[in-house]
Amino acid sequence: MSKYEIKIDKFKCVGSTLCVMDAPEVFALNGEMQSHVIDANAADDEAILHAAQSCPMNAIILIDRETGQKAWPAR
Amino acid sequence: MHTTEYFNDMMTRDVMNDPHAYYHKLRAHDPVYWNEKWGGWVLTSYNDIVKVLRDPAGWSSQRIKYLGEEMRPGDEIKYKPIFDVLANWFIFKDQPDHTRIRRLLNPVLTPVALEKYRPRIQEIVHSVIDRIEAGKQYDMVKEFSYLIPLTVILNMLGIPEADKDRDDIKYWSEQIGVLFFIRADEPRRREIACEGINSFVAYLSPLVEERRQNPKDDLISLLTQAEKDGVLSRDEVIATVVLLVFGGHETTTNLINNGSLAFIQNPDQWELLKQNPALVDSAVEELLRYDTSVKATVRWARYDQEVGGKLVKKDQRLLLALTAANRDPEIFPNPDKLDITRNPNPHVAFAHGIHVCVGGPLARLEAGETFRIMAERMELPKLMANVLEYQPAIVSRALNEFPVSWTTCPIAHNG
Repeated sequence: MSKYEIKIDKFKCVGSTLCVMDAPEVFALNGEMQSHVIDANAADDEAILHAAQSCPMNAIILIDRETGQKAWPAR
Repeated sequence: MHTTEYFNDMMTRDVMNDPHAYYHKLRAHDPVYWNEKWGGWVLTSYNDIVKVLRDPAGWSSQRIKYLGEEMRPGDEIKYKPIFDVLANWFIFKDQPDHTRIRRLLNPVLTPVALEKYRPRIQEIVHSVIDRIEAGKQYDMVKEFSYLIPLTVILNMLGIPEADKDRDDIKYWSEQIGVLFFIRADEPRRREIACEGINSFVAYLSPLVEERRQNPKDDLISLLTQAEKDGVLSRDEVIATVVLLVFGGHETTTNLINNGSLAFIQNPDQWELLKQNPALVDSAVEELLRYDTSVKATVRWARYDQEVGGKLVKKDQRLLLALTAANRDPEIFPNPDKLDITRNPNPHVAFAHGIHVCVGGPLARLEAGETFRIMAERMELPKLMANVLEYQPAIVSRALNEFPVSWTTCPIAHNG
């Protein structure tokens, strides 16, 4: 099971699709052409963090399941 | 009641000086408006614009291809630099070429990757502010704003930052801007852009060649390495350097100018930022929304399709008025009010979809550091003109001159 709970900020996601290209087994576009999570456990933690960091809008929020703290973005 | 003639003329002095009033009227009249004079549809509603921006399969960005189709026989030779260089800008490409280049650049321009440049950006902002003297008049356009993003992008690319280099590059960029920003008042805009491109390419070619032989830790070397790896062509390397310099400063310059003016006109919001520096990121988002640097972008229909209840035919073009979307009252309550605490703020200043500005995170970082340090070290400047005029352009929101004066010197900083 992935270390992260993944959330998408719908007000920030612009549908750049960069996360989908980085981790297509985790992210896909919905009918609004925004990112959504199809399977949070389909890639390793490093790949998920990398995909979140590829977002130009910082629209992907990662929560550490163990601590409940936000792991990304830092600001 | 306004006439068709009023709505069709997007280039009047009134529209240039206050595009927001014009777009409010146009949105209320017809949010998907056929502008006969421009020869395309003008979209002003947020939801329609976002839908088009997020659908690259339906709407093409190949501006230079469509420009080519408008030209007369022989023009391809006359305007060769446009087709050799601007046609290789990935912002004017569709998938998969767009995505190949976007994915090469994106990793070095994400918010996390840009953090390493923050200290250098702070130094540059401080150095520009250090030169300000109390009581003197400055033109923010020519003496302040552009220095920050231009110095930063030259630094990142590994291009010399000496005054001569910077001044030449600024001049060539402005020449390219006459075409790119659609300076409709300039009949020679294609010729002028060709001059700028030729001069810029002549300057860059030996520099790029040198990096091919001796790569460094800079963005030109990243591009020459991609050429060696077979990801970019030789022409794409030069074109992408020109794009990064041009896109890397012209629009951010306008963000700093338009943002500074917004604060002068809304001093309560400046005070709020001074009291709460942590609001700076939210303030930058609001400045991007409130007086958007890139007023519009263009898309072409890849097939017959409906948008906002109108049938758009294949190859017809749409002007997506980002400025209008950003003040659509359906999305933004009290849209004409500058509110640096606005949340949520889903503006389209950098567009949406696959073409969302690759330099957006850099613009945010530069503008954030600029306004944060200005608020820390400076008072709000006084505007030294009664009327401000904007460049007559469809795309850019650019002041001709922005004369200001500070009554006190900037506070010294340690560093």
